[in-house]
Amino acid sequence: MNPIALPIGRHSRLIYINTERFKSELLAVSFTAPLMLETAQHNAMVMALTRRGTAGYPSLALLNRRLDEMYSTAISSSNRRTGDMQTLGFAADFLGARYVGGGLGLLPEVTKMLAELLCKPLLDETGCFTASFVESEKQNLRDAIRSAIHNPKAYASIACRKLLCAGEPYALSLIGSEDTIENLTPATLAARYHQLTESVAPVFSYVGCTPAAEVAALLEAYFGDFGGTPAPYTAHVHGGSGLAEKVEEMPLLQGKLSLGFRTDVSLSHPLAPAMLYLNEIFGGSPASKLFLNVRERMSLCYHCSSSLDLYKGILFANSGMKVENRAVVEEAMLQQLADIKAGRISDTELLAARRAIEHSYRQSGDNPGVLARFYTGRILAGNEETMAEWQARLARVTLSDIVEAAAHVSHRATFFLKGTKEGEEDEEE
Amino acid sequence: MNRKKITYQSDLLGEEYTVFHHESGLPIYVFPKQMSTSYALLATNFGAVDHALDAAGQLKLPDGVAHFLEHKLFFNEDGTDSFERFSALGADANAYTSHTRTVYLFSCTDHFAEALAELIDFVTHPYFTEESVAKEQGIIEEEIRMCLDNPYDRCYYNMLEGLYANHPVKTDICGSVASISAITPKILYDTHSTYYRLSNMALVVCGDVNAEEVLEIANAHLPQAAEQGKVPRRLVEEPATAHRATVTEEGHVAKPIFSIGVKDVHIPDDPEERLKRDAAMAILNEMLFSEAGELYNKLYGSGMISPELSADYVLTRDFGFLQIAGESEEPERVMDEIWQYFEKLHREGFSTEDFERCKRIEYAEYIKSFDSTEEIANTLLSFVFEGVELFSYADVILGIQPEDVAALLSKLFDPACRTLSVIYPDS
Repeated sequence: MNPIALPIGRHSRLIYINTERFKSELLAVSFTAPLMLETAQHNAMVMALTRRGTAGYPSLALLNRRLDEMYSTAISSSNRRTGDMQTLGFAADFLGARYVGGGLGLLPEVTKMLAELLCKPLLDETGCFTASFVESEKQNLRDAIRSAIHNPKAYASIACRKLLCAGEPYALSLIGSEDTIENLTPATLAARYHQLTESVAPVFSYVGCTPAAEVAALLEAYFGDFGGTPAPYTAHVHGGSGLAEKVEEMPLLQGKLSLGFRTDVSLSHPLAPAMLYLNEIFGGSPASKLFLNVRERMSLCYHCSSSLDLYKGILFANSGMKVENRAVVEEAMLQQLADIKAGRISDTELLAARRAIEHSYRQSGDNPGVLARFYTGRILAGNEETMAEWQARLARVTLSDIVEAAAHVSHRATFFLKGTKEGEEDEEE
Repeated sequence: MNRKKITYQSDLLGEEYTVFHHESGLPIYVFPKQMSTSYALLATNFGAVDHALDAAGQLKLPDGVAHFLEHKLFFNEDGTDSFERFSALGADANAYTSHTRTVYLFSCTDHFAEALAELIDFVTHPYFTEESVAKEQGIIEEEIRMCLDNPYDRCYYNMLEGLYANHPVKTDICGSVASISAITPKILYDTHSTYYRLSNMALVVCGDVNAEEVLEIANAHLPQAAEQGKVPRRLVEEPATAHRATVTEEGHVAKPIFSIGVKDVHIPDDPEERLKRDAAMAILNEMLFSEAGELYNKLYGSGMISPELSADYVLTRDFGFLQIAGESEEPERVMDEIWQYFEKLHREGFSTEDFERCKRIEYAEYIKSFDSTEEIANTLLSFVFEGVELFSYADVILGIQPEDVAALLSKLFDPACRTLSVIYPDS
């Protein structure tokens, strides 16, 4: 299942992964733009508006109805971070050719639909987006920004990210803030659409069993002229110094603690594979130190885990606990990291991490979306490493590599969402 | 060792699976699939709604005991945690408790035999101490608080409390801080011996495995004789209408969150009929609430709802409900619009084209669900516990006629059977 890279037009390329393993096929497109305050919200809105209606399918109902007719083809849009870039795109998951009459199956129609979304926006006679759609999507954006409080755990993580990367693009919201929504107009959005689509180098990915030449020919026909010269990939890996701390109150029963760490180790660093092990041992699984020592042995929290962003070289550790237990949980979480730094990693922990990492990459072959995202993310970040090469590097990681990687980890941000609610549950006790 | 086996095949999907009836009483399902990931689950047909140790309901269990037991079974007599044992094998283990079942599972790409042996061993060998139970209470208390801080969970459970007067489906799966404080090792042992009888359980394996290997492991780790005794199923008297028309609460939300519940009081006793009702409802749900539909586009286009509107139907042997959930500044108006649309469809009928489109969607989704060993194993388990055959679903979908959907439309949406649950922003 080794991928083949093929050029599409002047600016794009196709990552083609041949497999007969699945009953469905995947065709996705992703592209990056610099993550900037001035454009992130406009970019998010442009993607929402293209999914709202196109020249050929001028309403959400017509667009979705067509997708339904294509045997329930699902097209999802994405808006995420890759380093300090904003990665946008669409992914289509559709039934394989053998279930829809053979030949090329739904692929030509799916390619055409992606082209509708990206190349044929619904613009009025003045070249602007439809005013009513813009107003409606502005309201959705406002609701999405405000609803961050609905998920306290995610709220705390986001607040910690802002503290950890203050002043860097990575701290910016991918959907912007409420106070800039009124700057969005049908005209500014149309202008942004043109700027965006003329300055990206899309990466297409296909997972399925249609021959590569056929997939490439279809993409060439619809996207041969799409795109332009992109801005270079950037990721500020080296952060500042000191520890930023912030406490916010919210009417919750629990407190949510989020600790942020800089590692100075991103994907291209020789210690990147070791950092993945570090995260696994620290809080990446139910065999991790955070889970077994802080959750299971101390029984002060239900969730206690860590996550790593290797594109940016940052690590987070999150937990939720009774407010009065914050200090003891925080101390215990930091102690787990201190133990790793001191090389206190048992053979069992190392073996569990090695096997978990091996398992996660072996099973990626069972999921078309994971395969496509692995290659797309790396290519957009200027990294041409194959999964096999990456796995080989992971297999060579030793205990001393992990300890060496741990020396790069420094605690730089603490955010605590302090619950202020006295619950009935507590009164019953 | 194994009394009989039955193999089911699907020409449509090019798939097959075999069920073996093991001497111990445990049915074992093996679904071979040429994928890197093998997935196994061992489940008991026991969930949060099973509230007592006897059919009369005299020996009542504390709320949340099924979920507590699920957490606690990972703890072993030698002081180890089964999570650690799975991790040493590179297997990714987990468990979950629903209203009606408790499921223990793992996925792996290597060391399948050892991981399967571990799964069978830890689920069938309970070990609880006062100390370990007390420790788990601390962890689950935090899980309960986390869920109480989640407005979507609150809205869901409030909806169930509105729908049901007596049925234990209305109770939080985790229980409450007070109810779990009453759980003791004895209660856990009694619950395990009552509900974890192997005849009340199922083992489902999907992946690049062969049946002989699975049976060999089962033979080595399961008792060779079936346990005696029946699992108590307590029937609860439940009114045929919703308990309360509305349930509202204030929470830390930016916009009102709503859940409209519709109590299904026409639950067929026959599992095949339930499956047919489930399929017809899936098609009707698509017709009513999909983003391609008239109703969704009216609600969304007018700004009455946020983009995400979900409609999920749950049907089991003794309860069923539809949940329509979303966010809106005017939840009551949204509910009125939805019922006006039902009445219009009922009065004027729906288009055959719409019906066929939605039937095709359900059919395509069914085929696509066979691309993941995890999804296959979990879906197969649902069918097993419901007493129906997995591959029969394709024909059931194709056999649904417009009149089946029309019948649902006329019976299910009685306003007396609905509840509106809303979490409003703090005043």
